[in-house]
Amino acid sequence: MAKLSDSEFEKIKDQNRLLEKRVAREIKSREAAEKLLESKSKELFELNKWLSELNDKLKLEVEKNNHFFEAINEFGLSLVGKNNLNEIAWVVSEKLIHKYDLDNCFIYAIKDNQCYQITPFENQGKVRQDRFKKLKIPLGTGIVGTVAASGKGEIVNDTSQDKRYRINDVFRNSELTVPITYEGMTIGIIDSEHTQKDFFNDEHFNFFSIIANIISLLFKNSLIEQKNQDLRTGIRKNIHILDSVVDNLHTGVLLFDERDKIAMINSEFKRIFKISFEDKNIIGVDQAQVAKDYEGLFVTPDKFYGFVDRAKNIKQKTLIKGVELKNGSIIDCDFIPLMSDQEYIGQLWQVRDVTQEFRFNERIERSEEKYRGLIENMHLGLLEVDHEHRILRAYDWFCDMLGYTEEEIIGKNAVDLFSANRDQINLIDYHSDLRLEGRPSSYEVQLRKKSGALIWVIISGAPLFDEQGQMVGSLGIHFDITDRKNLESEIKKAYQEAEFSREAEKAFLANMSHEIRNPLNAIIGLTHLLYDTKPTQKQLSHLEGLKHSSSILMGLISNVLDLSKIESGVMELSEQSLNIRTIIDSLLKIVGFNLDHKSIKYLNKLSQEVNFQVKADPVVINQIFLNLLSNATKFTERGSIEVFGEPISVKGDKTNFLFSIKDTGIGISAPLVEDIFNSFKQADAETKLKYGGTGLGLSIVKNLITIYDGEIKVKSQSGQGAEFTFNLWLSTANYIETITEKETFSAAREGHILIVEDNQFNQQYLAGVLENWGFKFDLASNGKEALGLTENQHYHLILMDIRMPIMDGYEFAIRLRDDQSNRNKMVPIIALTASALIDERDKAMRAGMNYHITKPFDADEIKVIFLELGLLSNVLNEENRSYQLDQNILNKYYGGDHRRAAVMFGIFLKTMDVDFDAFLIAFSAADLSSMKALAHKMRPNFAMVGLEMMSDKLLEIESIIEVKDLSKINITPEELRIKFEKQKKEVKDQLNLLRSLL
Amino acid sequence: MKGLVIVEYLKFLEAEYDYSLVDKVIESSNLPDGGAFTTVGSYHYSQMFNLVSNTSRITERTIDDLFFEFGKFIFQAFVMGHSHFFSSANSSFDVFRSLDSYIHPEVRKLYPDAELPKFTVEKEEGNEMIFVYESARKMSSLASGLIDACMIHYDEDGRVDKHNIDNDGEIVRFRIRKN
Repeated sequence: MAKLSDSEFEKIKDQNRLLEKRVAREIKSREAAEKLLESKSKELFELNKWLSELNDKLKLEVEKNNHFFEAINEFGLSLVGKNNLNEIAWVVSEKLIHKYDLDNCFIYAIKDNQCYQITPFENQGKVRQDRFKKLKIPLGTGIVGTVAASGKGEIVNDTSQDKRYRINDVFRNSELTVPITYEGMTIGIIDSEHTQKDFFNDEHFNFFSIIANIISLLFKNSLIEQKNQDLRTGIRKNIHILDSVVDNLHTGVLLFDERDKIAMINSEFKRIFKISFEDKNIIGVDQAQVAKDYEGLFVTPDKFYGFVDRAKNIKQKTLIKGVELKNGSIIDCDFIPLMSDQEYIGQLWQVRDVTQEFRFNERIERSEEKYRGLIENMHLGLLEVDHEHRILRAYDWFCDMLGYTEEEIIGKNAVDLFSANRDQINLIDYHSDLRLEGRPSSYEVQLRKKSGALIWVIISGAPLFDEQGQMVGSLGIHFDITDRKNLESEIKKAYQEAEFSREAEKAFLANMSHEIRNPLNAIIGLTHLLYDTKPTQKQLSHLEGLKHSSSILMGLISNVLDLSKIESGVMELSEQSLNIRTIIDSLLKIVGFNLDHKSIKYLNKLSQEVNFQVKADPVVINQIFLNLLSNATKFTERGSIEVFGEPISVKGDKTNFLFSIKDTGIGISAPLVEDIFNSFKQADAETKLKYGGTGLGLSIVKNLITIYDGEIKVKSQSGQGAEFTFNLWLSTANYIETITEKETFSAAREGHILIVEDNQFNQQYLAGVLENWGFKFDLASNGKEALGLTENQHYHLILMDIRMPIMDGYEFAIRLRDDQSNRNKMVPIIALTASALIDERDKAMRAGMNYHITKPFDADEIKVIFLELGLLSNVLNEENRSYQLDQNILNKYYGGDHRRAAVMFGIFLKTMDVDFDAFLIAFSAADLSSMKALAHKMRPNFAMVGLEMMSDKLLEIESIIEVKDLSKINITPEELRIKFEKQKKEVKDQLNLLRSLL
Repeated sequence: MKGLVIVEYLKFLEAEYDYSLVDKVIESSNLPDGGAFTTVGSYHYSQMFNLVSNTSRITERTIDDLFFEFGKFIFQAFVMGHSHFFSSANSSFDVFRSLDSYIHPEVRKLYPDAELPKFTVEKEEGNEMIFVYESARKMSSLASGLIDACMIHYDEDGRVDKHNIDNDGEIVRFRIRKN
């Protein structure tokens, strides 16, 4: 064996050391593991032990409970069927004493705040009479009294320590007392004592309590039993009462049972049929036997028994009237089958002696004949028919009425014979059916006379009875109403005619208004155009007058049309989200804007806490407020006009808003207040004269308010101002409409311009200028159209004429600046005014416009503003082509734009012929006003195509007309025509030249 | 920390190196019982971290690398000891899916004091599964190793991406894409 080197030896030594360490660690680990496992198994052992103990305990508990419930069961069984409280108490006391070897057990019943002892058991079941004193303990006294008062059971472990316990003897040392409760009330006590102290435990307490519950249940049973007993007694009593009632009836009663044997008979029945039997002899006798025995009583027994048999067969209640007995009596007999659940259980006979009544009826019949005679004398036609309408009898007046003799018509069918047309048959059948039910009725029919002539009659029909009281047909009283009928149909015709003419009038009114409106529109349009023709100060004031009058006329006609539209219900609502507060703000500015000399303060006093965002038709809402505000403004000289508003109630998604508009104007005098909302009613004639208007405004407001289920009222006194109050039910679906950008601003670089101008020439001119500069643009002919466009398109600038029909430039500007949701709210507006008056410019600025240019203007003026706004830079292309047209004119009017100029020249050539011809005709006819108007209209158009000379000539003619001296005109119509034709040719040539340059 | 894990770790070290390294690591870790661990005992997790960080220092390997390799090693122990978990699954995804709902609850029945990470499957679609690991012990590298071993166990090939949701590594998202 080779000897190990030192290093090898050291290595092995190291390895050994390592091994030793490892072994030591593993031993230690194992020990730790063993220790751990040992402690775990000890834990398990303890747990197991605890579980098995628990199991034993549970077993004992279960056994104990089983005993307990067995005992309860046994107790319950012994009490079954007992419902007398006394009896129950004795059983319970005895059993409890035996079960627990008690010293005693008492049961008490509680009544009138006292506990009454009802069992005396003591000392192991032996009754000790000396102790059975039937104790009476007041509530709250002693232990029994305490439990009776509190309703809570108690265990007293040591009676000697309890102050409530007064008796001092040796054998009662502990006590258990539980209440017996019924429906929440303490009705009794179980009380028990034992010689041992601390004898009673929870088990006793529970057992006693359960027994108390059983007693309570039994008590309940006994109460029910008692009630049943009472009911039975009651029923017996009622039967007895019923018996004596039946016996004492003045109607004979005979009852057969289901085997047709007599079950009951009363004294009256026996009296009527002279039956001498005692009850006991006749009860149980067969019906057939009875019939045979009493056959001899009837005058016609076969007839009577026949009726009886039939009634029995059909098993329906039947009345057999007027049965005659041999002794002279008359009886009515009711046969009533008795059924129970469709099973025959017997029959009841009710017999009445009607001898006296019958005799009386005979007398009535005789008097009936007398009355028929009377009716005849009153000129009423009487007719008797059977159920098939066959005539039984026709009285004289009826025969006269229809032109027949009685012999001719007896036995014939009345309907076939008299009815005027087949349509009436249904009506007659209907009433005949009523008669079969015995009901009278009356109706109007047309009858045919023997001669064929027709008459109208009212027939009042009633059932007809024979002597036996059987219904055999009907009796009709006929009253001739032919004259009345004729009158009626005439009235109806007249009414229809009146109605028709009313409709026609309405239609006429509507059409008329349309017919007037169209030419009126032309007048207004032309008036506005005139503003653009550089009018003189005087002309301007005439234009103002013309504009004012025509717009009043327009207002009148629009109101008439509106009203007829609302009244006929053809208004279509287009609802959208809107804010009433904003609408009112805007309207206040508009109505306040045109006040010249008046000093009125406008105040929007809508409740600040309320959001007036609603969903409604903006046209309707606007018009309601506008009419009322205009009205207030019209009748107020100075002071204030205030608008109030607040919501007053809510129903579903609708809110009831109450608004009022209060002014300090002339007011309305008391007698006129009521009428103020009726069409065409103004306060009075004097007012109308002074203030004008149709008197339709308030009527329209009233009608519009009805659309939103509202009502309007006015409170006013003459000279005291007026307050109009109204409510509107508006949908307040609570949503906020966000303004969505419908278009991006990509066009911003080029710029998008809106031109609002009613003059076609100006429109084209502006369009040409803008197109030449490379702008996009839209055209609108009035403010309303323009507002519509601004809702959908973003503009960088608006060129705005002032005087336009429908909505002028001022109103447009105010509305736009107030419209929070309009993205063009802040867009710059250039006002294009006809006059350079400072006033005009101020008004434009006040309305919210930013720049002002006076017409006629040239492109350079607009350019200055465009440059200022940064819409244009100075590097506009200037084209320098050679042409022979007047460069000045092109530059002045078209900014050097040949295309635009060409269009304008084209329009000139197309439109001027008509106007010029009209002018020449007026000239020839010396129709000054037409001449003047046409000259004024044409003048600027000549200027636009560079025919300044012609323009000047027309101006000259205009001023001559002004002084009404035609002789000063130094040219004839014919000369003028030749001149015009020549110049037209020049324009044509220039147009061709322009086109060639394009 | 269950004793089983520490005992397996020491076994892992011995397999990777030898007992002399195990001895060095234990000696330098200054452990309360001198490194006598038993599989049935429970130990404070700091002891495990002492062992791992000392291993890292001595062997100059990163802790993540050690955990990853240990994960692969201990997986074999899991397969041997609890084969029923794996025989009832057909793929690694079956195993991952049942971690939180079945395997960990079962483990907890055996070792009520076991500290287990939480696995939540966020998405499973065809060959892709994303789940989130959550544990205060920040031992997601161990999880990585287990995932790798598990895929190999089912003869699967694929890619595992690991992404820390918080900076500490307490919450980590695993994304597995099988080829």
